[in-house]
Amino acid sequence: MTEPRLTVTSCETQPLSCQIALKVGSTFLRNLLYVVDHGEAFSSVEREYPKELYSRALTREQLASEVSFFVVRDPIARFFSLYFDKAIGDPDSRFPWLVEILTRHRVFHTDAELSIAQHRDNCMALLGFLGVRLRRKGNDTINPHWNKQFARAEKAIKFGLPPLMLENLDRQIIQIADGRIDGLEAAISKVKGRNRSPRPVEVEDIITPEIYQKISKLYPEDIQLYDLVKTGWELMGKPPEISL
Amino acid sequence: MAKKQNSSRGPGQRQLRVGESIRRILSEIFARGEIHDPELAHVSITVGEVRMSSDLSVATVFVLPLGGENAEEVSKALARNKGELRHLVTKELNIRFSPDLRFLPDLTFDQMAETTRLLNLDAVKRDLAKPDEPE
Repeated sequence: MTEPRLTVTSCETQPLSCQIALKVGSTFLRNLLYVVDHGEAFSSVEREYPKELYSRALTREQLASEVSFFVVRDPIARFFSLYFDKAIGDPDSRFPWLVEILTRHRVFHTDAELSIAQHRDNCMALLGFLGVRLRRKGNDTINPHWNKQFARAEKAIKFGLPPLMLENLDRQIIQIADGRIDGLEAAISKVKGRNRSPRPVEVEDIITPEIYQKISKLYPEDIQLYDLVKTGWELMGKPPEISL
Repeated sequence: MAKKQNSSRGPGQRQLRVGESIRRILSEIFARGEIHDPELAHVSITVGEVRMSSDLSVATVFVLPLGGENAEEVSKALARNKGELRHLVTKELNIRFSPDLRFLPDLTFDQMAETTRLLNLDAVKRDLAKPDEPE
């Protein structure tokens, strides 16, 4: 019988692998893996990530022998990253088809300068759209920019990958690598600060209990997973053991 | 009289504060894997909310295993271990009384998320950090 394998993205030259998910630090991680391999940041358009990174299917044993991990992000922060980037972001980053659907079927404002109330309308419109998509499709066929983190994390947990948090990702990678990856800190310094989407307003100004409840209703397992990982890191200063 | 007014208005400050302290302590106990019950050995549990009775003698703890499956079984397993859990909580809580712990499956993700959000607001954090007023 074939041994089960998990598909991860890896460095070519060093034992560093991770499970990558969109809107959960994917650009940072792809760039980091590239810099670890090549010593320099990827030189193309800033937001484009290198395609030549390895995708490998590894066994539990192989993963355990490397610096391997997966990342979780606060579902609230992930939703707003999606909103700022793909719904109202600059033309290079946003999804025109998404804007078109939202504008046609819901209350969605596209003015150059939006008021707080308009941002709130937009968030509710986007959440309504996500609700329909999440209900209608299985997680594997949902757009990876807004699929559930838990579905992917479930696989990583079963393969024993430690969970890291996007908020402190650079420090946590260095900690779990424990000196096994040459030039890791320098590589992190090189890619830090890239891919920061500009934000016209702060999340705290837009978020309402209604928006919060809607996000947590759409992503309950993600909220739960994030809570467990955050508690574990805060309490023990290392990746918590997550069981299913 | 005051108690009657309190119960009609919802939980008082002290109930909320003790409930949140117990929630945090239990979350930490579960994260450290301090309960050695085979049924709980391979389950990650979140504590959504702890509701205190008005006299603080009973803590109703809403729990959920990661992913939401087998919530009833996990609640029952925790109830089996409530003596040990009560001891650990009381030790950490540093209060004169020892609340009875009652475990129920948390079926309201929304409530958990909203409670967490409220408890993470700076103003609420400051309030929760204040010492208890003398009885």
